[in-house]
Amino acid sequence: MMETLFKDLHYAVRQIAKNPAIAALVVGTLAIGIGANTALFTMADAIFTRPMPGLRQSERLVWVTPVSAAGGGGQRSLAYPDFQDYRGLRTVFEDVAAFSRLRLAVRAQGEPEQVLGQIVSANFFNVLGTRMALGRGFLPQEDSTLDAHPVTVLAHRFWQERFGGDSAILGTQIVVNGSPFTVVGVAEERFNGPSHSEPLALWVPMSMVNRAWPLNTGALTSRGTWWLESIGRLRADVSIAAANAGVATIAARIAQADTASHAGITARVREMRSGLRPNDMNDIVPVATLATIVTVLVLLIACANVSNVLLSQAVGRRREIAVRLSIGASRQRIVRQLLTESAVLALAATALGTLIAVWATELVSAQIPVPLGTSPDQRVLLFTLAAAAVTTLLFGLVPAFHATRGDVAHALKSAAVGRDTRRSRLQSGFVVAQVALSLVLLCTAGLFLSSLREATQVNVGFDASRRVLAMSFDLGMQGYTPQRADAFVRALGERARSLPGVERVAFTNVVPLGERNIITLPFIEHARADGGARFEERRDIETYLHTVTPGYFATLDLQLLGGRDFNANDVPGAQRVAIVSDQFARAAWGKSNPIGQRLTVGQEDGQVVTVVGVARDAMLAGPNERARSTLYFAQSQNPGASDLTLLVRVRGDAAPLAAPLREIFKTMDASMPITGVQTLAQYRWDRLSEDRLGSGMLSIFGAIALLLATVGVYAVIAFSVAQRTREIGVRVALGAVQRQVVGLFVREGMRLTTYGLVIGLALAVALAKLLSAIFMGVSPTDVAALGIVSGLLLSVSLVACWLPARRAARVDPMQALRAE
Amino acid sequence: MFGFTKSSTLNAPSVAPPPGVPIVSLRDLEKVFETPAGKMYVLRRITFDITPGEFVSIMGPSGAGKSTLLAILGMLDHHWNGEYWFFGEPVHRMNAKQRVALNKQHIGFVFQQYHLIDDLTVSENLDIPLSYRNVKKSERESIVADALDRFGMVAKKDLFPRQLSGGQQQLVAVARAMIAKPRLILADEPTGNLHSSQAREIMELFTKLNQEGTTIIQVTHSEENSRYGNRVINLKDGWLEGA
Repeated sequence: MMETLFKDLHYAVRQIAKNPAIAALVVGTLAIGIGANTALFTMADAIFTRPMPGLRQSERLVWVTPVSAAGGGGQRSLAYPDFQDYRGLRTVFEDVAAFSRLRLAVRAQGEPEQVLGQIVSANFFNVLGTRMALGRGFLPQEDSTLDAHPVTVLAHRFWQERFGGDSAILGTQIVVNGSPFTVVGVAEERFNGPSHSEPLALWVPMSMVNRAWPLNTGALTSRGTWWLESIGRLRADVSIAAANAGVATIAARIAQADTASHAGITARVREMRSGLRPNDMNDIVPVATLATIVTVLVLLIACANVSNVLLSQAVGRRREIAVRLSIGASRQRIVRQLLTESAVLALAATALGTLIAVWATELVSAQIPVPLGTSPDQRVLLFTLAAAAVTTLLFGLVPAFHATRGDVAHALKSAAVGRDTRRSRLQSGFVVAQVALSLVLLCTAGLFLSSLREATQVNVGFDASRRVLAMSFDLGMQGYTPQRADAFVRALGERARSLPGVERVAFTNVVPLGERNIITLPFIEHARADGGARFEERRDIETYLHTVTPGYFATLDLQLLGGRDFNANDVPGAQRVAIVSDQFARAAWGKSNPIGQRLTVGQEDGQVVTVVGVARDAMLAGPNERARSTLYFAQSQNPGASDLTLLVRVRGDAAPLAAPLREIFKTMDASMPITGVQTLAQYRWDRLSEDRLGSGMLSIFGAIALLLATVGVYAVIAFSVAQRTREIGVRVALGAVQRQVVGLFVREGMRLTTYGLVIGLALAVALAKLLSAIFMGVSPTDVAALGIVSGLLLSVSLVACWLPARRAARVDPMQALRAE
Repeated sequence: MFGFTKSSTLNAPSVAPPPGVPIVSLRDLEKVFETPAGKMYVLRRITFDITPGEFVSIMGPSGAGKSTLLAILGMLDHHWNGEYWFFGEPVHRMNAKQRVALNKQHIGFVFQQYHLIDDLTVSENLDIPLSYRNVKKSERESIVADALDRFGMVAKKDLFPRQLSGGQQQLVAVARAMIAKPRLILADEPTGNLHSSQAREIMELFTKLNQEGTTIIQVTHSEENSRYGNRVINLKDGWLEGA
């Protein structure tokens, strides 16, 4: 068996060396398909299955998550007292850690900056099994006394980038939210927390919550403050089922003791297999599914293309195969030999495809803000080998079986190879399949590009141009009291207004077209039968909540349709007011006048606000976000909103104002980091970066598919011309003119293209319907996009048919007939 | 010319056939094509026996069906009617797989166009039929070496067919046909592409093989070639003449 295999391999290499150009075409084509799929697998592996770096024995780690007992709703955060209760479950857990992500103002060397960090229980690193590259993690006592242990552990990358990897960092101090923290350790390289995240800079202990989150209320004491995530390390002998039973018991006990916040809440553990948190799947799965469809399509097209090439090659080997059959080879033996040749090509393509995959993975990873461990490992290698095997079967099996069919005697007799109807049908079938699948990819790309174009050009309902500059800062992080914050905002507003060219100035806690949004549910007031009022929760009016200063609407040129803007009379102690969007007003009160209506948010007995104005609907969250209502509160009556953005409107380009505004900030508070200094036009551009990346990738794959399909059409027509040389000679000798000969082959090719087009369009529309349910803005009825793509494919196919057909017309009839 | 030493013994059939049983026996063998215009008969009611050790020449004008008949005898063509007995085995009742197995065991084929595999050397071309019969490598090497020696091809064993003359290629083809010790050699115009002296050498080789016990059936246009045999079967328009 081994000896036969070596013989086949030896012969395969000889055959391949005989036709290096064909081999290069085959290997290159397959490498694209294999490379794309391997790149996707690598990304998927890094996201879905690989344990996060820095976690040890992660198979024993679980998320401890409160969930609704009724089902649905996904993972909730945890309150600190609840965490302590779960931590006490020593029959189930070796230990349990808690953490939360926070934005922190850090000043180390140079300008203050806002970084992403985590506030963690002292046992955090121990529970995860994370080692320190320098120094130590947190000690148990550093979690015990509030505000007593201002220590921090730096992330390795932050340490390298900001401190040059200085080993003398231990014991030095950095300023976090205005307070000095001592560096006690540097985490091991590549550790970035237990879940996929943007790069983290540092960790601080839970006891320092008042510095890390100055405006917290009862973060460590209140069961109603849900802000933590929790990870437990199971005891060796405890199963998931037993752990679930244990945490459910704890949750029931908590719910009994605190029905106000915990009624209907239970708890569950979920295995921590990768860096995905339980709720992350909802966002990732649609994108992963689309990516899988696209890469598999590219592979199928590549295989169809290569099958066609091999079918054509089989013609030239028909005699050889007939001889082998006539001297005793079984069909199985010949198929095995041909598959070995295919396997050699596939392996070469796999090697090249792996290089492509590594390059592509690095390229895509660089575009994603979340660091992923995408280095090739054993799983990736196995996948690549499996891809090689599947590819070999896909593209090699049909030509191999086809080559051994047919009449041996006839193949031995005739020297000239005429048309083989069965092979022609197979090749035509492959071309139709390639065209159809290419069209699906191109249409999908076209629809996403169309959606992107729409998102880029759509009227968002306010001025999102270069005329408005945004600048964000967090007073809460700096420990500003409400009074001090109010004074700061007023002073900053006045100084900004005094800059040349400035027309209007306002503040908001949600930067328009930014990444962050606050969503809430309103409780609308209804009159009761007894003359009182009740507030009814409206789950159907999921609404954005913005806290803004007077002049906000004018600054953004966001029209007020009725009522008034906030003004200087809207102060603490006065009637609490709100402005609603038109969509909110219609949903809540129908045709009734919304001015004067009352509502609360978050809870039925929350603070009541009265509607004083109605604003036009605007896509403040971005053009590709689901259209939701918007509720505006007055910033002066909601001082808790300390994470603010200054909006400055000018007559021309607002970008040059960035420098003078930074100077103003520096003079007012040099320690406050400023972020997001850019025009709203830039925000709009950035908001669509993921869409651009996705559309770009789809377009690249679509272009590759188009190229492969075009090559496929060209190859089939060119082969047909070569096969029918004698027939062409006869036709010309009988009087056919050039136009008629060209038309013969162009019609043949365009017929196949048309079949593929029809099938492809049907598949594309079906896929678009599926995608439109998942991705915002994709429309299955975008006739223009489908039409343009179809036209492109037809045009390119026409050229691919015409080129070889033109050669057919130049056949010398005498030479063609003499060759027979 | 080929370095063939006339005194050496060629491969002889290893097992004696059942006594009295023809090696080939045809009864009313027919081959017909269906066309839009109706049935087109290539062979009609062919009936004859060939006894072991005969050297038979099948002759007839072009289109008489000679090569078709040979292909059927060699079990390369499965689409025919009638009865075909091979050493008493009913080929007409066998499926394609069984026929191929029978072919592999007993029949060697020599083609007019030699049909050597272009990408294999001379020794590899001789090795191939043995490898298809699952002969062990060490045994194959020995058999191939023996055949190269007996056919005077040792010096050319590493050459490719394109590097040989027509006569040398046909010699290799004959050696390949003989290497698995078949009982029956079928030769379709074996000297059709050779000039007269080369043709003579090949026919003398066939005579020698026949004297050693191998049954030979050749298709030929050449009267001279037919005289090497001991019997002639004439075909015309698919019919046996003088049947």
